[in-house]
Amino acid sequence: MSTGTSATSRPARTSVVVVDDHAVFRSGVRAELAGAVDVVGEAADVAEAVAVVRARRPDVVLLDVHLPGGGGVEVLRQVHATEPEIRFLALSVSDAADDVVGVIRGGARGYVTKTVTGPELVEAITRVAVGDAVFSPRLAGFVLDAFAGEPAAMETSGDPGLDQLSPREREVLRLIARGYTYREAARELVLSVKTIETHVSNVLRKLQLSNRRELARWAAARRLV
Amino acid sequence: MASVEPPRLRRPEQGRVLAGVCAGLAEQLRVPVRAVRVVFALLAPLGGLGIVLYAALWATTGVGRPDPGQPPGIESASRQGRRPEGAEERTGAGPTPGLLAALALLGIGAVMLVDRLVDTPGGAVWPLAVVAVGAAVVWHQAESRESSRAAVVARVVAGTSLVALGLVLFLVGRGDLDVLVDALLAVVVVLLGVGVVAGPWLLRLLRDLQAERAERVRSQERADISAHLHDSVLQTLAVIQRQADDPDAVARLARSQERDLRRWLYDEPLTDPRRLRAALEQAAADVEDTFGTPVEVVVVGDVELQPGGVAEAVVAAAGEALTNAGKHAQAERIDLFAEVSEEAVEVFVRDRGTGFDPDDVAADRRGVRASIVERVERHGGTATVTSAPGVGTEVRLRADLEQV
Repeated sequence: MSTGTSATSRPARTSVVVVDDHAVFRSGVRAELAGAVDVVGEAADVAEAVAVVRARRPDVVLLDVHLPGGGGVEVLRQVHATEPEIRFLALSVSDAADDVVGVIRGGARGYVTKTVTGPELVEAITRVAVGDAVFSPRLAGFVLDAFAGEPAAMETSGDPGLDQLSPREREVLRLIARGYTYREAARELVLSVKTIETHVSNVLRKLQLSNRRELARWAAARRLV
Repeated sequence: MASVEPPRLRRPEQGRVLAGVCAGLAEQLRVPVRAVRVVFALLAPLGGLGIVLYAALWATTGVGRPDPGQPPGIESASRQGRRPEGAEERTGAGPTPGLLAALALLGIGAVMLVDRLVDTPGGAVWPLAVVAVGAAVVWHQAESRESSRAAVVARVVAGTSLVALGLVLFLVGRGDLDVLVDALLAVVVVLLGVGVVAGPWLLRLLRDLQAERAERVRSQERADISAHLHDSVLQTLAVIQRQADDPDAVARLARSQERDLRRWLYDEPLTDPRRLRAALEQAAADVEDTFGTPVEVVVVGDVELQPGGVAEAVVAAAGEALTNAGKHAQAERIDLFAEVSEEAVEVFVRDRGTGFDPDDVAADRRGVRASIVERVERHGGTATVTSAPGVGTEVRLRADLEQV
C-alpha cells in the first residue's frame, strides 16, 4: 500500500479535503490521518467547501452531513454539477436516517460515524478513493430499512429492478450490519471480495437511482393513515 | 418528564382533513383513522348525528401534536440551515374519491340537520349550509399555524365570501334585501371608524403577544437544555476529573455520556420500553456501562415484546450474549444487529475478541448453553453459538413471529 519515500514531486498518497463546521473535529481528523493520507484542504461551510474542493480537486472529500448553508447534500449537488468525478465519504454524529440516506442519495460513496477509529477511517477513505462503496453497519441497517416492505406493491420507476434489493444484495447487507468486513462476508458467502464490492456498489446505485417515494419506512410509519 | 401524562384527546396538526377530530380520535383509540372517518360520514345523514358529534368534539378538544416532533439536535440543525429542507420528500394525503364522498355525505347530513332543527321553508336551508361552510373555513384557518400568508388570505377571503353569499341568499329568499344593504352599510362604516381609531394599537398588541409567546417558548427551551446539561454532562465531567488517573473509567464514562447525549439530541424519543428496539438498546447500554466495551446497535424494524413470549426470551439471551462478550472477549467493539421481518425476529451478537473452542467448553462456560441456547429453545426459538479461538464469537438468535 505504501509506496515508500520516493521524494519526488507528486505525492502518490490519497489527497483529502475535510469539510466540517467544527474546527476541533477537523484538527482531530487531520492528526489521525497524518502519515496515511494527505489532507490538502479544510472547509467549514457549503460555500467554502465548494470553493476549496474545486481549487484542490482532492481524491476524496470527507463531508459532514450537517453543514451551515444547506447541509452536505448541497455541497454534493454543487460540486457534482461541474466535477462529477470527485468522490465523497459522508461523516456524521447525527445518525438520523433521513439525513444519512439523503446524503447517499445525493451522491456520497459511503457513510461512517464520527466515532470511527483512525485506521478504519483511513481504510474507508482508501476504499472510496478507488471507487468502492463504504457501508458501515449502521448504513447497512438504514438501507435494509429503506428497502423493506413488499416491493411489488410499491409504485415503481421505469426499471422495477431499481426499487428492490436482490436476495444476494440483502444477504450481503445483513452481514455488514452484523459487523462483518467485506472479506469476512466474502468468506461466509463463499464469494470473492470483488463480488462483495460489486454487490455493495449495486446497492449504492439503487439507493441513488430508485424512484421509490416510500424509500423511508420510518417516514411512512410516522404518518397517520 | 417524571410524571406520566394520562392520554388526552388532542387534535393533531398533521394528518387532518377538516379539524383533526377523526385523526385525534383514531390516535387515542389506536384504530385506523380511515375507519373513524367512515363512521362519522355514515352517522352524518342520520339526523345529523355525525355532525353534532364532530362539532362537539371539535369544540371540547385542544389542538396538539401527539407527534413529539424532531429531536432537539435535528431541529437545531434545521434551524441553522445545516440540513437540506425536508431531507426526504414526505407525501401528504391528497383528497381521494372516498374522502370527497365522505365530505359530501357530511354536507348532506348538515343540511338535513338544519332542516330538522329550524322550521323554515326549504329555501332557507341551503343558504344556511353555505354560511356554515364559510364559517368553518374561516375558523379552521384561525387555528392552523403552518400555511403561507397568501394561502391564509385566500382562505379567509373565500370563507368570508361564502358567509356573505349565504346571508344574501337567505335574505333574498325572504325578500329582506333592502334592510340588509342598509345594515351592511352601517356595519361597514362603524368598523371603518373603529379600525381608524384602534388599528395601530391593535396591531401593536398583536405583535407584542407574538413576541411574548416566542420569548416564552425560547426561555422554556433554554431551561430544558440547561437542566439536561446539568443532570448529565456536568455530572459526568465532574466524575471524569476525579477519575482522571484511570483511563478505562474515563473512556467508559465518556462513552456512556456520549450515548446519552446522542440519544437526547438525535434519536426518536423512546416510546415504549416494551418494544424490541428499546429493550436491545438498553441491554447494550448496560454492557457498555459495566464492561466499557462499545456496542454498535443496528435494528431494522420493531416489534412489541409479549411477556413470556419468545421475542422476550431472545432479548434476554441477546443481553446474556452481550454480557459474555463484554466480560470475556476483550474485543474492541461488539456488533449487535436485529432484524424484524414478516416471518421472524433475528438477533446477532458478534465480537472479534478472544473466542473459544466450542468442543472444549469448560465448566464455567456452561452458562452459555443454559442462559442463551436453552432459554431461547425453551420458548420455541433457535440459537447457535459459533466461536473460534483468536477469531471471535457470534451468537445467532431466531424466533418465528407467529409465536411471539
